Amino acid sequence: MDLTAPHDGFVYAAYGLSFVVLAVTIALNARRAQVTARRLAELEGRHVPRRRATPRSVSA
Amino acid sequence: MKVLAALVRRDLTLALRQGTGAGTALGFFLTVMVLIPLGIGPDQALLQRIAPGALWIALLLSVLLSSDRIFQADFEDGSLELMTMGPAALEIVVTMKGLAHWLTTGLPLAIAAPLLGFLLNLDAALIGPLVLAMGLGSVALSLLASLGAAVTVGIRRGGLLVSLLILPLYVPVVIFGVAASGGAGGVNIAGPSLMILAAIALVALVTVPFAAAAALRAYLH
Amino acid sequence: MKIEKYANPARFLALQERMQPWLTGSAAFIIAIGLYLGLVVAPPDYQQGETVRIMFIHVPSAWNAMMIYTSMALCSIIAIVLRHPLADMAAKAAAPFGAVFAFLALATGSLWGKPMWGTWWVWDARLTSTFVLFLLYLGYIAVWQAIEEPRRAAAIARIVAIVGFINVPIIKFSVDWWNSLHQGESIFRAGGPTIYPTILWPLLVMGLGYTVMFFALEFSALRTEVLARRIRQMEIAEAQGS
Repeated sequence: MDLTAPHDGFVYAAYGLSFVVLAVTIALNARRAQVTARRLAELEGRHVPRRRATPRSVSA
Repeated sequence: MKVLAALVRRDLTLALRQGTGAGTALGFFLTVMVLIPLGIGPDQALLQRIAPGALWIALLLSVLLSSDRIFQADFEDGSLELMTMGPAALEIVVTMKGLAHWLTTGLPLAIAAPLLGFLLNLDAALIGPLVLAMGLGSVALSLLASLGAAVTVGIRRGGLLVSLLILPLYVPVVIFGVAASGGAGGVNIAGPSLMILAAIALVALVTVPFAAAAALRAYLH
Repeated sequence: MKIEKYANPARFLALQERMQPWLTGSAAFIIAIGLYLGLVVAPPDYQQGETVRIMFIHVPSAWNAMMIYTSMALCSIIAIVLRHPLADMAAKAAAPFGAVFAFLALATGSLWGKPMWGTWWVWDARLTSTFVLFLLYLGYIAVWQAIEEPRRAAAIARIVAIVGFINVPIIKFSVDWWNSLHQGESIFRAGGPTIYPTILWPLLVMGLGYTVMFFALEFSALRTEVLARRIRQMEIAEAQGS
């Protein structure tokens, strides 16, 4: 691949942008997963029940 | 049948009494059509070329901006909930409300369009196709606007959401509407475009009531 | 794989835990191969020079953007008809990724278009419908943000997904009614692909890599959605208990 071809700025920009955007997406996704897991562990540590103690009334 | 007429008459009466809907839409329409030549400049040839497109855009925005009142008042005071228990199916109610909105907003604007078109030096030969296309297209515009209103009826400040959802649906209406009005491509494609516009209006008439009713039901329960 | 078997969220979580490393790993691996093929092996185009390499990230992004919205519409239909508990969550999880790929398709396409046709943008069928697709993604995401009650949000979101899906081919058709500047179909044609194998292979590999990458992200995000729902239930139970 010719690293200094004409219009190569466009190629660098396109690949660079894609890389950055996808990296940020992956990072945000991972962070959200981490936060969720931590919150769940915290709630389970407190032995919070997942279902209500009294059953819900039937709704339409 | 009497129920359907009653539904439409109710909305028409309310609109005429409150006078907000059609007046606002017409005022907005007028404002846009006056500002465009002021903003673009006095080049008459240029104005004539963009006249059909500009009129369609003004029509579209006017219909969209006046659409939030289609369900809002009835939703807030509980009438909508009562209507779901009434003799007519919610889908019919939605259709009639959309129709009433068209009669008070879409249709009057479509008729007024040629008059305002003179502000843009509209080619006189295009008046006929324009009125026909707008009369037909405004049906689709009103119905789609009612879909946007139904989807956002329970959301505060749902304006941006309505735009995001409904403007994409308006794209084909505008494209075929302008083509049917004889703009951008001449009279050759006006005929087929008008047919496609009619098809879009029919499809909207058949599908929007179900989607809008489903959305309303989500908010009413 | 029987989809019904994994309707149970707990079973999905078990499946996800087993599959996630494989999905992530193979995505990275396939994309690495694709990048090697596209950037090192493939020769520059006779007419376009090096800029043809943008195709290897532009087209897979566009494919993903369309595929993801299609799957969101399918999930919404499944949610309505079969009442599958994971369907709404799968669509909700997928939307942000779809928006990202739609944005990348538009941005890389613009960067490819400028050197190739001398313009950043043109309102032809493909570009217009991709832009509208991006707006539809934003609208779908906004529905989930704007409505607090999850079941109501799901009901509205399904409608948006399905109506939006019908609209995309309509827009493509209606804008195609006008002149089109964008390249015509060169892969899915009756006579087979018309582009050279040296360009085709990197493209297909990157396409596969991007698809697997989406599945890796989707599995992870769906897991997060399932756990988030669990958290919400526990928070409600805790608030009622105390």
